[in-house]
Amino acid sequence: MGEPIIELKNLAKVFSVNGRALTVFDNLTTRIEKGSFLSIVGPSGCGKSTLLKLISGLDAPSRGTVMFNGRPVAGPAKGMIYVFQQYTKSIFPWRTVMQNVEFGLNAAKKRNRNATREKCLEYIRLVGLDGYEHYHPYQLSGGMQQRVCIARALICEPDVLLMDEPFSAVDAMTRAILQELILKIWETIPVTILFVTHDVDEAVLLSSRVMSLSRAPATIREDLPIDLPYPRDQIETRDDERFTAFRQRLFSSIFLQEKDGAAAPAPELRP
Amino acid sequence: MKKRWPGFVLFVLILVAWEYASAFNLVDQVSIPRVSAIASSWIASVRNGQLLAALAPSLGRISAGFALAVVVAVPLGLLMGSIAMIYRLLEPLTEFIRPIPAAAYIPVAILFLGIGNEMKIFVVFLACLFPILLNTYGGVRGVDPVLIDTGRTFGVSRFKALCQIVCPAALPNILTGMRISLGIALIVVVVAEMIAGNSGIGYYILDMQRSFRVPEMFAGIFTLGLLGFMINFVFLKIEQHFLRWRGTSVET
Repeated sequence: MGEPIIELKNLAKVFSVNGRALTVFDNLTTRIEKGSFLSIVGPSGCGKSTLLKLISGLDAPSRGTVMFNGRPVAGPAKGMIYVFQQYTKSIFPWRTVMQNVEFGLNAAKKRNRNATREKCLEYIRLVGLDGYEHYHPYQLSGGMQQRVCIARALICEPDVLLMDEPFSAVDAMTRAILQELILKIWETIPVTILFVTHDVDEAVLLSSRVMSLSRAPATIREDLPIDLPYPRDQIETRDDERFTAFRQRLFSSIFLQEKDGAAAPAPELRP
Repeated sequence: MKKRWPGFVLFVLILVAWEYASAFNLVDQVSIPRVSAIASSWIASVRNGQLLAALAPSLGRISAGFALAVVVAVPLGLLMGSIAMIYRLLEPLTEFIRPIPAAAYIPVAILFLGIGNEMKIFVVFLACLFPILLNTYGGVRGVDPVLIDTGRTFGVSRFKALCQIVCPAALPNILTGMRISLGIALIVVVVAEMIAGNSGIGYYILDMQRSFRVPEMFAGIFTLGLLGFMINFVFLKIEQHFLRWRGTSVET
């Protein structure tokens, strides 16, 4: 295992729901390798998104620490950018595509006026939106809006990209195209990606490692290195029998829990 | 424009009915003169400059009071919306002052500021303050948490987030507050001018009534209607311009 970029040490999150303490997870410990593509899957409400929020520093853990580049995370960490599931709420509707991407660049404070325009265009091209620089978000489809959010995040040149079910709100075909896009980006740019999804196929297709969480209080149930070769392909990789094996193993572990949960529903965990 | 014809037809019908009701003495011709008489006195008052001379000071007072209210209420609303302490500090005070009709302050304002421009501008300012303040505050509170978190993950400072995220996101509400307060400003300035002083469209209407120049009085009232319509129309255009990014067009 290579150099860790993120380490979770005995991480715990406890919410108070109607005066009752509700443990989302307790004692979560793991290390995330630099440059890896880690997906976190698990039954709905198991705290996947909460975990991602804690790692990003947008939310604070109840106990334990998140180490990022060897330093504990306290508050939104520089070098990590969170990409939200609800892109319609995360994009700046009053800014054009160009201006949205520019926001990321200015936030990163790597300002070099001459380079600004060129650099924005470079990232707009990277996500395949060239020609749409001067469109406003309302003129774009959902998939295109999420591309804008991805470009805005990447232009900061983050060490870690935290993606919270980024493709769950688009149609199946757009999702397949966006999956290819994120694979291409990960292979061209030196970035570590933490990817939360409820879609096991998506997790196996994209990741170098998949972590499956159990129901709350969540523990790491499966932690699989996905040693399928890169570059991966929507058609060929999905056809690989090892892909099917990974998928089956993860899917059954989650599905069985979901079925148990249906018999005795866990309390809703939406912070 | 096409779909508006029923409204215009009704408007014209009422004017025609008024004209004949007055012409055939169905209503008191002295207190409700014929529309044509009002129209000709309106044209005469515009020509000899009397109406415009009355209108100019009123417009000046509205603009000054409104501008002051915007300058005070927008930053205050932004602060109240984003800093809980400031909200808790100011909320009881605003909730107490807000329901008092601005016209009720006129007697007090006269004591402190006299009967001149200062008093009228102050009263317009007070009347405009609360719609803008409350709409700005509401707009800030209504900003989606995801948008706020987006600013946080990019590590922008609170001040920068206020200017670059909260302010534009709350802009639709801020503009609505401004439009509401402009309507109120027109009412309040007329009341203030009727109560004290000797200039402005409010004073003009009252003066014409006192000197039994009833057609001129109505001409003044119709001018107010026209003015209110125009202010609203122009402001809607401004709103449309600033909110182009929403992609929804306000009906013209």
